[in-house]
Amino acid sequence: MTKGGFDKIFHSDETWAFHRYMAKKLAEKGWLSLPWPKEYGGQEASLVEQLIFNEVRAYHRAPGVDIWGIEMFAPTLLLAATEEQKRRLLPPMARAEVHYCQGWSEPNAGSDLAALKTTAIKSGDHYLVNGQKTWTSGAHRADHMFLLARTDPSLKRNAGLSVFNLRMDLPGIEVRPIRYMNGAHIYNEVFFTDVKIPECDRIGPEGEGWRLTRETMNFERSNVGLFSEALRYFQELVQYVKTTKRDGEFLSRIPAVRQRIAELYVDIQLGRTLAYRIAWLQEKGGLRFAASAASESKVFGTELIQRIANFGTEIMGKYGQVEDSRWSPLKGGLIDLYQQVMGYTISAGSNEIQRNLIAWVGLGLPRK
Amino acid sequence: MDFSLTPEQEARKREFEEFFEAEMRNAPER
Repeated sequence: MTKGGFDKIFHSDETWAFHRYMAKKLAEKGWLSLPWPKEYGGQEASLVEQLIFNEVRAYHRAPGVDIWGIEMFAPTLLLAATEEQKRRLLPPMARAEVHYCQGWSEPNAGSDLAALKTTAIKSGDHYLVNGQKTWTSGAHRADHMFLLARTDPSLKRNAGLSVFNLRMDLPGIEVRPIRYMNGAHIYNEVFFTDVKIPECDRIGPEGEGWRLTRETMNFERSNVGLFSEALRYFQELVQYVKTTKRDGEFLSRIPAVRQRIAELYVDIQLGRTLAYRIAWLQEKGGLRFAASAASESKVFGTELIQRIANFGTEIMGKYGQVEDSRWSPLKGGLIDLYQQVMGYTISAGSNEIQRNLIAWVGLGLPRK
Repeated sequence: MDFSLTPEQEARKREFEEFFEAEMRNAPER
C-alpha cells in the first residue's frame, strides 16, 4: 500500500533514487512540461491533459515530478520571468536536471507568510541575503530554491517582498536537518549569511513578490491528485471490508460500515468534480478566475482524505498498524496515511487561511 | 460545464495509465 508515494521521495536514498529515475523517464516523454510553450521545452498541451496526467500519476502514487519546481515555480516563471530567464531556467526543469525547494516559511512566518524577515538587500549588481527559512522540504536534495525575501525592510507585511531563483550551492547557505521521530529526513532549516544572488535571478519586478507568490499559491492548490490519492486508498479499504470478517461476519455487511463507505464515495466523486471544475475555469479564464475554487478544492480534498484515514484506522484497529502480517493486507499503510495527512490541512496554506480566502475572494465578504 | 473526455484525451489517459502501471512495479516498498 505504501509502495512508491509521490510525497515520500525524501524518505530514504532508495526512494530519492527512484524519484530521480522516474523524473528522467517522464522528461524523456515530455510529460514534465505538458502545457508549457515549446520554446521552453514544453508540449503546449491543454490544461485538461495536464489534469489527466496529474490524476493518473497520483492514483499510482508515482514520484518523478518536482512539485516545487515543475508545479509551483515554473508557472510563476511563465507568468513573470524575462525571456532570458525563461530560456535559462525552464528547459533544465523540463529535462529533470534540477530539483527545487521552496523558500517561504520562517520560524515566525508560516500561515502568516507576510511576517517573513529574511532580507535581500540590493548591493551593486547583486542582492545580499541574510536570514532563515524553516520546514523546507527537500532543501538537502535541492539544486535551487525559489526564495521570497524582503528587499525593502522599511515596508511592512506584504509590501517590499521579491522573488528570487537561488542556487543552493552559493557560499553562505547552510542546510540543517529537522528529523522525524522515526529518523526520516524530509524537512530542513536553511540559514543565509551574506549570500550573493545576482540581480539577473530576481523574478519579476522588485517589490512584487507578494503578488507573484499568490499566483504561485493558486497553481499549487488546483491539484486533482488529492482526490485521485483519496480514491486509491478508498478502493483499498473497500476491498478490505469485502474480504475481512469480524465476529464471523464480513465488514461489508455491517450497516455502519456500509453507510460510511457510501458517504466517502459520494465525497470522492464530488471532490473530483470540484477539481475538474477548476481546470474548466482555468481553461476559460485563467488562474485568477479559479482562485476561490482552488481554495474550495484544497479544503474539501484535504479534509476528505483525513476522513478516509480516520475511517480506515477505525475499522482496521490494531491490524492497521502492522506491516508484515497475513492479518494486515494493507501492510500498515493506513496508519502511515493517518500520520501523513494530519499535516495536509496545515501545509500549503492552512485550511483556516483557505476558508478566509473563500469568504473574502469567493463570496465578497469583508476581509476582516 | 462538460467534463467528459474526448477520444483523444481518453487515449492519452490510457497511455499514462500503462506507463505508470509498468514503472511502479519497480518502486521501492518504502
